[in-house]
Amino acid sequence: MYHYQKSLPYKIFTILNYVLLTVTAFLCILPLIHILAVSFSGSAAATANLVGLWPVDFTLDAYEKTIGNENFLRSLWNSFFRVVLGTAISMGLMLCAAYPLSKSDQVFRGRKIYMWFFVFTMLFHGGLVPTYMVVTKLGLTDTIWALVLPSAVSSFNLILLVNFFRTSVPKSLEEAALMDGANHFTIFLRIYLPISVPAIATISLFTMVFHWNSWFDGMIYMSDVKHYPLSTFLQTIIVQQDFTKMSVDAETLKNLSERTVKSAQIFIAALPMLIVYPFVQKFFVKGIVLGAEKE
Amino acid sequence: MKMIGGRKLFKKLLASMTGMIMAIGMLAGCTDKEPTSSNSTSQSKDGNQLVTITTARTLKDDTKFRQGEDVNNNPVTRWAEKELGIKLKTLWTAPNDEQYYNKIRLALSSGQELPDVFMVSDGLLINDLIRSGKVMSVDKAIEQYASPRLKEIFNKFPEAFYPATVDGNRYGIPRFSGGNGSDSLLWIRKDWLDKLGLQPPKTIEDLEKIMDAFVNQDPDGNGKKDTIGLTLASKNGLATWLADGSFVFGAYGNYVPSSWSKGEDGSLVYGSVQPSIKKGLAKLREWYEKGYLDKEIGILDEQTAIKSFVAGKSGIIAAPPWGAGWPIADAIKNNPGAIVEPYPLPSGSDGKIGRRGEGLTVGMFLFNKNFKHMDKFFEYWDAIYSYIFNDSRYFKYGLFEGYDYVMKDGQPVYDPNQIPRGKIDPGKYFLTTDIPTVPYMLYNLAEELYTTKRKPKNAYEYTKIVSQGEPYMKAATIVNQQNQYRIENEFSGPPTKTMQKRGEFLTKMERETFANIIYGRVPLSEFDNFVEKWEGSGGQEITKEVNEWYRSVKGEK
Amino acid sequence: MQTEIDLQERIVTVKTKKRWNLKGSWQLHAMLLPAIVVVFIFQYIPMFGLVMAFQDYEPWLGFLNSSWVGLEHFKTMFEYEDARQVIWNTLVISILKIIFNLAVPLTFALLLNEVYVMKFKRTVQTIVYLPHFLSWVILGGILIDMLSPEGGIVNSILTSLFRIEPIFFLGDNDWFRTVVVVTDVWKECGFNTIVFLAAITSINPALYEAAIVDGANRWQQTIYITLPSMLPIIIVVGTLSLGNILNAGFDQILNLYNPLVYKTGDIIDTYVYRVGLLNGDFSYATAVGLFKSVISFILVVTGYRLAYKYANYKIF
Repeated sequence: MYHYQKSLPYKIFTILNYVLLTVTAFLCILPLIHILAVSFSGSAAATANLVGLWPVDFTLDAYEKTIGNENFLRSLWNSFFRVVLGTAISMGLMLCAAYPLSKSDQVFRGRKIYMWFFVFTMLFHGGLVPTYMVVTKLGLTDTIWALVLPSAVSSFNLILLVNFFRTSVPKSLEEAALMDGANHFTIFLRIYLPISVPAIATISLFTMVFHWNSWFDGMIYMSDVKHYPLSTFLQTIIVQQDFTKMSVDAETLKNLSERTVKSAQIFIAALPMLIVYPFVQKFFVKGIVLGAEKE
Repeated sequence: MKMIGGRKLFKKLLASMTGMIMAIGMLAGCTDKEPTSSNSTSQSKDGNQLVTITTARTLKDDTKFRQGEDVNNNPVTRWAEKELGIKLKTLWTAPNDEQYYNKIRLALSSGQELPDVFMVSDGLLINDLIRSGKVMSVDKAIEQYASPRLKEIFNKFPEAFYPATVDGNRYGIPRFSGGNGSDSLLWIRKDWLDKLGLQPPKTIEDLEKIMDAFVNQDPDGNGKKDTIGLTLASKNGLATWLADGSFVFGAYGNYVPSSWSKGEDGSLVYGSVQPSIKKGLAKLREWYEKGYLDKEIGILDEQTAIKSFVAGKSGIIAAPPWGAGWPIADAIKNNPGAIVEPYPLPSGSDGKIGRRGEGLTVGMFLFNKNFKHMDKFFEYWDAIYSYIFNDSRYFKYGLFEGYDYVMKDGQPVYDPNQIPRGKIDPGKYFLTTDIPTVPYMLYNLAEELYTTKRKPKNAYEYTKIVSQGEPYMKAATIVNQQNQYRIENEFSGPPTKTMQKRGEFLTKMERETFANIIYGRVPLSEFDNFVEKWEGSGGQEITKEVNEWYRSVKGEK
Repeated sequence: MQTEIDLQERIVTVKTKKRWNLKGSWQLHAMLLPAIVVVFIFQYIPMFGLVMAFQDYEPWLGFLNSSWVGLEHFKTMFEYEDARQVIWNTLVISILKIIFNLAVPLTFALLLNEVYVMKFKRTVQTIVYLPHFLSWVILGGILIDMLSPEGGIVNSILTSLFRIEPIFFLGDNDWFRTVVVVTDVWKECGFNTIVFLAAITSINPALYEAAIVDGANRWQQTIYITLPSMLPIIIVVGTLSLGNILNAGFDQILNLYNPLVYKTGDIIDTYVYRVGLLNGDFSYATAVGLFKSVISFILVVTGYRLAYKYANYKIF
């Protein structure tokens, strides 16, 4: 313990600090608790907005309905599939690309051009219609590839990986391998990948979250509700509908009032990420590297 | 999700990479693929010609299927195949309207083949589809193939065709709404009225007295001044389908906001800029100040506004008859002892009454220009309409036994609890995504059933009316009896040229001005400035264009 | 010692350069190929669609046959009555967001760094990241409830603490931007906090030890050691967020705004969205999007250059 930690002002600061952080943390977890409380409440109370942070008229109805909803379960499975395949492809492509891009400009001529090739896509997009045309012309609609390929390379994540390689892999190791006659592929597989666990874990999580949450592509590329990933499915029930141009019947409306079911679905949908996240989180501090000193 | 083989995919990627053919193909503008297997006729098992009709539709979460059945395999598709020789094939589905239109628009924009038959309600999209030349005129087909009674309905509601009428040609068949199905009436907390010794309102003045009492005399008896008089939604405009405020304006003139209705000279005028709207706004402003309205009214849309009523903090809401099921039922559930009764709309000082009238159509069915089987389509159409006309060869007691009714001892039973595996509404499997309707028919029937107390004749009458309960039938009767006060939006065409250019600005200005007037943030006279600015910033041109459209669809020169 | 490492590295670089240039560089190109192909097909080919911005794109005519209108759409944007207001709102909101999304996570990281109970530290770190997982559609509904002047939790607390009238946060032009910025920081501060924490942990402990010997207290250490050491990373994060200067957060605003706060809350994206609803026009939206991209691109490139030149920092 350093001596400044024993001083009175620092002790006061420490107490205040803990209080402040606790309050902040509480504020951040508030909406989740609220969603959870609504999902366990009676539906009339939920519509009337009587539920705060504790369930009113406690019931498991919403969860029974959610579990019983075939479409929900199927979309949950679709999402799992998408996340696994999508993350695998993304990570494969990006790791392979990050390795050469992490070399210095002297070692790898053309690095700069390649880098800007990727960065450019961070800011310029062709837009919805042309992208849709490309995907349809390739015949990818209604297949998983329409969801995992177009977004496979994220330039931002690529930059994070490049920076990690650049700063965290000891050059001496690389040099030693080189002396032994290893080529780039071997160095990449034997030296870079094993050292990069924090970055791989972190970026994988980002990619997983991205795939788990994207809904728009699912909506436009899937022709059957059965193929919808979870977030697309959720979007259809969360977004309020405009009834000005709709024939309304009692049954539709009853479903509408089921705020509790929506909450249950939102919570179940958030759950996998909430479970995975704390495990990966310990890698975050090491895994996210933004920028490096100029060589 | 099906997967294409990795090798096939790789080849495809390679091909597109090397040639960049695709990019060129795209620039050349949408090379169409072969039409998707429409118009094909094949032999059915018993030797008859089987006609395939392709479609796309919304498939909402409330459309339930029996185990093992789906949108392409259910009693309706089997019935159509067996009885009519039609194979209905749904190419794709979307879970709600917004996504459905998105997909149609994308298909149109990227040169995809359209289904044979599909419904669109967005005026602009209908217009774009017609102008693209990819959908066909239905004038001849109606003449040739529609049954006499279908023609009769079509002739009875000619304005239902306006959304898809261009240059005097009709390009679509209307999917009718209930006509007055989502028109509003007042739902009032009867227990509050009784407690405070008040009579139901006949006039706006009465209503004000009631609201005042609801706000100041603690109707819920909790000792706090925490109740409001009237629940209104305003975020999406003041004339709307739930928590509707249109009756306040209707009490002072023949116009409701955001709606085109006939002016004194018979031409269409824009409701929001009429002098009577100022009177309505003045009232709302006064009511807001006195605390009759929700403090948050400016940010409340239809579905958030109702929470004050459901929570038992508000005494009055203007909602359609179906409100009985939601949100009224929830209000009763939350507030033990609450009694909510439907009442007719109150009149203004000179006896005027008016309400927003729902449009006649929910959407238009359009047909791919390559579709060859309009005869079959109309056969199907007439067959499903026969159900609500009660003279169906196929659906006597209901649609499909075991789905919406069962036979017990030679008698139809509609009670859901008596149907094995529960009741399912097969009407949702129709192309119309629900049992088809004719405007005003439902509430006419409801009024008849309510006043004569006769027994329902088929599953339709039972499910859609009787099983909805007494308050619903009473409310439907009241709405039906106030039909003469409907103020309908008569403009059902695509946004006009000036609307496309200036419409966003004008709407924004209108919403902003109205909200600020109600909140007392600007003087009431700001309304006059708004009208002037509206006229000057394109409103006049828009009025001209709207009337040009109106004359053209009516067939006038 | 520092120079020694530098020297070693330089030798290694020179050596590697010699060796790899001779035989290995095809391998580097090969490793990039798959990603290049995917990006080319799904990102670059669709960019042909940007020609729409200069056309009156009619869906059924395609890109070749639609009529050309030149800069018409760009002109329309600036001739729009409220263009000034909308652009101003966008800039104010996004700049405030950029500043606070730097300042708050930075403060937060510094505070977290003073926590020595590891479990507590990790728990807090986990929790502040949670709102990120919820979309604005969901959060929008919850926020409207929480901020309600009638029984909303925030107003309940404020009125009981300060005895003030309830504030209509979402309907008041004086408050709306504050709400937008605060809730955005609240939702997204987790990520930057982690970035900054990483930077703090990589500061050489020897620097602090030296300062302690000189008698510096913790505050002085923060001012004279921690912050200067973090300057480069702050610049990097700032530069990258410049790319968002014309994105004030479409999803967020769409779910929170209403006619009462158009004056302060309406932004470019919500405006384009409303226009699109009315005329289903892909051309106009594309033109506005392109305009935004160009501005962002210029800013990011400038930022990159400046960071490289003055802070000795290489972002990518």
